[in-house]
Amino acid sequence: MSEQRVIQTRGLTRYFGQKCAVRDLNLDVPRGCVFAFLGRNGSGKTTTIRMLLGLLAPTRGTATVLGCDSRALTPEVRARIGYLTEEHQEYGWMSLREAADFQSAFYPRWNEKIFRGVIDHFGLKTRERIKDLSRGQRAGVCLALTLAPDPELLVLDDPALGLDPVARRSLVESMIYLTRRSDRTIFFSSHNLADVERVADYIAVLDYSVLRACCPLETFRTSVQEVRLRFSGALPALPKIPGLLQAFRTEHELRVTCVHYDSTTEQALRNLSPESMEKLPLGLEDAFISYLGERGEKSFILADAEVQS
Amino acid sequence: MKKLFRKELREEMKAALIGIVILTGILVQVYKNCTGHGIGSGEAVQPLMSPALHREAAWFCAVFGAVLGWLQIRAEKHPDLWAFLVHRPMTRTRILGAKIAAGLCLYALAAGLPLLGLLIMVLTPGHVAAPFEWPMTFPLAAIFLLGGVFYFVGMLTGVRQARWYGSRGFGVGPAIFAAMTVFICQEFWQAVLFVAIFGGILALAVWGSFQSVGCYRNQPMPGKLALTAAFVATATLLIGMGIIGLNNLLVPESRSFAWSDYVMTTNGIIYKVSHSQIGDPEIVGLDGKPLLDDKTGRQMKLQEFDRHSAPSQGVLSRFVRQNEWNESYMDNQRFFIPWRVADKTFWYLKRDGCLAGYDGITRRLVATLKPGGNSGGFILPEQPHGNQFNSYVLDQKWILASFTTVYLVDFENRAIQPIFIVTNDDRIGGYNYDSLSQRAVVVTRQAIYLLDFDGRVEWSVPYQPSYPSYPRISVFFLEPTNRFAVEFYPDREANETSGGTMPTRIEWLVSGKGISKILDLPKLPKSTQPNHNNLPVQELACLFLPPAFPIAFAFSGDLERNLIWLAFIPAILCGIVGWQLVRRFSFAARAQMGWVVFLLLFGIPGLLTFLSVQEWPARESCQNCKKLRVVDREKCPHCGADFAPPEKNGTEIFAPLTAD
Amino acid sequence: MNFNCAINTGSSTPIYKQITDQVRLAVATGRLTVGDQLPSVRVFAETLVINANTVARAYADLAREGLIESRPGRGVFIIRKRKVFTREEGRRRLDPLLDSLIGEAMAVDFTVADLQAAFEKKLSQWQHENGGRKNHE
Repeated sequence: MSEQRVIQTRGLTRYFGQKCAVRDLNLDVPRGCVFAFLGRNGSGKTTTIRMLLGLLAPTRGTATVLGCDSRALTPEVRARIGYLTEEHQEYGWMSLREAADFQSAFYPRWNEKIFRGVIDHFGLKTRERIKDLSRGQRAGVCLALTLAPDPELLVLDDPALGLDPVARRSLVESMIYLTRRSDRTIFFSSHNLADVERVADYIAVLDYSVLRACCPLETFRTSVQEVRLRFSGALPALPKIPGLLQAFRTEHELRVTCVHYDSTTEQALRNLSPESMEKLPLGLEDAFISYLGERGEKSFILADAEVQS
Repeated sequence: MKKLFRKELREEMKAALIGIVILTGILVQVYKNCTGHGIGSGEAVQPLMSPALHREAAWFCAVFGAVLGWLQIRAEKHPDLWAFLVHRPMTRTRILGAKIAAGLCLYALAAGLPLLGLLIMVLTPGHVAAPFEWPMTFPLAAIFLLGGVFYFVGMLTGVRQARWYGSRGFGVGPAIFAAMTVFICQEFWQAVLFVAIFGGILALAVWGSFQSVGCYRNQPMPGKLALTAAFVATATLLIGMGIIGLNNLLVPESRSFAWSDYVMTTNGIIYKVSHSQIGDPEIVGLDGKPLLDDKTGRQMKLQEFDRHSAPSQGVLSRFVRQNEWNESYMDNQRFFIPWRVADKTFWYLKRDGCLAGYDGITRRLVATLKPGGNSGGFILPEQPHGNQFNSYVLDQKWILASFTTVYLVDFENRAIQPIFIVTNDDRIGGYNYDSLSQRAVVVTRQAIYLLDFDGRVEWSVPYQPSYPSYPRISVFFLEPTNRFAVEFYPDREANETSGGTMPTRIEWLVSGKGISKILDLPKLPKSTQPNHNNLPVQELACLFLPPAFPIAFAFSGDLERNLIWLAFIPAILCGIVGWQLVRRFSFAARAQMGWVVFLLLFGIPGLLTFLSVQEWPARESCQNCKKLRVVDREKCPHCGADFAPPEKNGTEIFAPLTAD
Repeated sequence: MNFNCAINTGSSTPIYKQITDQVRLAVATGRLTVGDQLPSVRVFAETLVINANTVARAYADLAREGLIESRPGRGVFIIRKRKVFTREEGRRRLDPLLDSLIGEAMAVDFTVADLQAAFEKKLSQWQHENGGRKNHE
């Protein structure tokens, strides 16, 4: 069965008590892509992923994974999904070999070569006990156990959390290795935008339980624009700009970050009569930070008057 | 599945080993108490039937079972580790099945091995100086099975996601009920049945909660029903215990009582003694005149009076057959009664009617005495039941009787010697004896005999009024020693139904001369018992227990009938409260009806269950009609509108995703 | 083939553009010549540890410019040294870079004469290194 969309959600919602963690999420993840799921801490990413894997029941709405309702994932579908969590939990008392023997008994498509490959890539020995490994090494084990069954869909929940740079790089390399086959899909959440920039085709951004962006990576980056306006005299008040993200004031400078910068926005800014106006290109991380930071005007932490010259 | 099974075994092996050690310690302790020097201290010498062993084994099985179940679930406490366990190509039911199989195997190992060891010790001749029959293993078997029920309680406590930890343990009710039935039921199969039922309910509840990761709403229906049933049981139990506990804690205001009795003095005169909560007991003669003390001139005190009361031997004639011993399966008196210790030999009266002697030192069976013919074995003498091992034989003679013959027991030669045989088709219904005065009272269908230990009949009177209306006979030994009195006491129930027209009859006689006087005693005033209820227990039970209880009690006569209406009030109130709640939170129509009916049936415990089991969805105001609506329904229950999509703030970036 | 490509994340230049810029620079400086083979999309992606689609996009852009060509069964090859720009285009491309350069020089308190001197020195150095290999069209 080859679905065009490996993950599809409609109105997916989850409440914890009175608080809404995920609100009316509509996602379509096409087959064969690398899909990054971004958002601040506590914005609902882990909750969404748990709902997709049938570990948490939605309050409302539906989610379909590989054509199967997430509330009732059959064992056959589960065999095709790999899931890696941020805590890299396995049974610490097992050795690597025991863990591999344990897992391989469940999956008909277990590929010992892949397991070996990932283990060697991370530089691990199969005799070691998992609880004696460092965090980065445990991540490698987890990855090996997840990739060895050759899953069609790989779901990763902040897999690089707390990993040292070498382990992180190994992780990204493994993800790219998986995409060798064009029908393999990766759905992952991350805070590490450098890795996201390397590896993602599409991103979706959750802004405190609400989906605010879902687009190709490049589209996101180019949609967020920063404009620097220099004034000789006092800074004027900011007019109402649709899509305004942030405005940052210093003595003679006004920096405005906004989305969907078009001619009307440009005209509105020109009407402030700045001395100079230039568009600053943004990297992905800066664009992301502006997008998800506090909206509105702000100065630096201390008010200008309090700064000792 | 095998891998999962082995993994579970490995994980909890340590706990099982600790359990084996603890239980072995307990069993060794109890075994020593039963078979060591503490013999004769009141406990059964057969360890398998020792109440102390049953108690301690039950505690161990319950606690260990619960801990094991809890540990198995908490092994995957972290949600990511739980995800690791559950996200694999295997249904949740099979995963749970592997866990339970491993857990029960470990439990069987930890609880079963030491118990098996105990059984082997008991079976090996030379260890236990007491009779053994295979049904004696039933109590421990029932207790062993009980641990399985607690295993599921432990699992349920671990699995359930609940707001406060207290409500996690709310599944313990059925297990406690199971424990009660194990100790209360008469027969082993009854206990096993109840254990299976309660265990099944809890297992189903565990299964349901496991499917839904501990939530209630998303469970399959059988799981929900089982969980609700378990919680209702617990709530009912807690409330019942609360009422009883509170009742016992409160100090009674007044304990008024009044009862009176007839007492015979050694000179053959009967007095009526009246007790009440005020002052000393009154001692009054049959003519109504109070008895005065010669020395003080005032009313005789009870203490002084008791010195004059005549010694007696009482017999409750039963005419019971040997295999009609029907104590509970947990009581050793179902199989044997420890009778006498003579010269380091322990003598037991067994249910097949034999007298079995076990040597105290070698602990082996050394003698079996059986009355001859088909008289059906020995019958029980009229002595208090229980262990007589503390009355050691010191050159005294003892009597045992079958249905037809009275025997003298010779402990030294380990033989029995018949001393008295009833006439024709007559049958012995009961007997009593005093080893010091060497006299025995034997009651047959036709007559009452007084024998000495050589078998000589000192006197006999006809058994008139007869069995079964007058089953209790007492023989009083008056002064001088050839004077006696025989009391015929009526059956209590028969007397009540006949309205008190069956008087107690006293016959005075002189040995050798026959009956000298007959008197029917006047009826005594009705006695009033102190009221043991400090609280209005019946009213509270009606209010706070599920209505089914008061209704059942009223039909069985234990409850005043007009209190039934009291039981309906809380049921209706709870139904109304529930009705409001289910409407407020827009439950499905079938669920609404189901819960309201449930609350009507179960009253306050039902409401407690309902509140602790349910998860309440949040409510928001509808965009269309502005009323509050639950968030887990697609359409507003008031106006049918959908939920508004989240507000846009102008910074959305949406672009089509094309797979390049 | 002496072509090393390094990419930076977090830069305001998207990765695919970094690749195309570096390929163009390599061709312009002569490090890559006509007929040199570039690694396949897959291999290049795994070397740089980036998404293959990004490499594919870079290659597509370069192919559109006419700088490279994909020969089925054999690989990706450089086919032309550099793109021909009109004078206007060239000036437009250089303008912001010149602004940057002058701005930076002012910031480090270079005078106009300092800047000119530094520029001359750099240019002669560059000509010395690459003069033998640079060809006129």
